[in-house]
Amino acid sequence: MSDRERLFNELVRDYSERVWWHVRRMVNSHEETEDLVQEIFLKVWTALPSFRGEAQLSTWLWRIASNETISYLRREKLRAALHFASADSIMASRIQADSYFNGTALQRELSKAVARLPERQRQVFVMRWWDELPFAEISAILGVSEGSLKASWHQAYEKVKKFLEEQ
Amino acid sequence: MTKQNDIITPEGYFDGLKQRLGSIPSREAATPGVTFVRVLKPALAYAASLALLVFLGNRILSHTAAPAQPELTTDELVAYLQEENVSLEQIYCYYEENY
Repeated sequence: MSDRERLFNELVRDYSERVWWHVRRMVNSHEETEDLVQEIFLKVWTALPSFRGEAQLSTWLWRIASNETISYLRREKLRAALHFASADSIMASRIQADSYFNGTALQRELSKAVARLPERQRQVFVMRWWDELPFAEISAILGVSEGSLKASWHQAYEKVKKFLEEQ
Repeated sequence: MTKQNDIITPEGYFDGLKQRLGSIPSREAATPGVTFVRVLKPALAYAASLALLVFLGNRILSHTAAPAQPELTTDELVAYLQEENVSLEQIYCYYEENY
C-alpha cells in the first residue's frame, strides 16, 4: 500500500463520520450528504499528492469539506433562481420532509432557523454548535481570525434566537 | 447527550460509508475522474449562453405554448454559471431588464 493510500485510509477512518455530520447539518438531506461526502473525499484523494504540510492534515481536510459544502449551497441557490424558487423555502421544505429526522419540533425549527443564515454564518454556527469545534480550529479551517469568528458566531446565535422567537 | 440525536442513520451506515469511501483509490486507478464540464468547456460555454437565453425566455413567456426544450440540463447550466461566477444578483437583474 502506498503512503498516499495509507494516509487516505486514515483520514476516512478518523474523519469521515465527523465530516458527514457537518455536511448533513449544512445541506439537510441524507441522500445529498452521501453524494457530497463522496465528492469531498474524492477531492481529498486527488489533492493529497499536493499537500505540503502547510496546515495540519485534519485542518486541510476540513477546509476541503467546508469549501465543497459552500460550493454545493451556492449551486442550489443558482438552481433555485433558474426555477424562480427561493433556496430558503426549498431548504425549509427539505427539513420538514426529512424522513431521517427523529427529534422534537423545537429541534426541527432550530434546523430551519440555521438554514436561513447566510452561508458563512451557517458554517460557523454548525461548526460551533453541532460539530463542537473550538474557535481556534474553526479559525484555522476558514482562514479567519478568532475575533472575527466570535463576532460571526454571536451574530448567527442572535439571528437564530430571533428566528425561533418568531415561531 | 450528543447533539446529533435528532437525526438518525440506518444501522451500520457509517461502516458502509467508510467502505465506499475506502474504495475511491481503486476506483480512481481504474477510471481516472474527468468531468463532463471540463472536457467540453469551450463548446459548453457557447451553448450555455444561448441556452440560458432560450431557457429563461421560455420559463417566463410560455404558459400556454409548449416551451422549447433547453439544449442543456439545469445541472449543466448551474455548473456553467458557477464556473463563470455569475451571481444571483446578475440573474435577477437580467430578469428585471428583460421581462
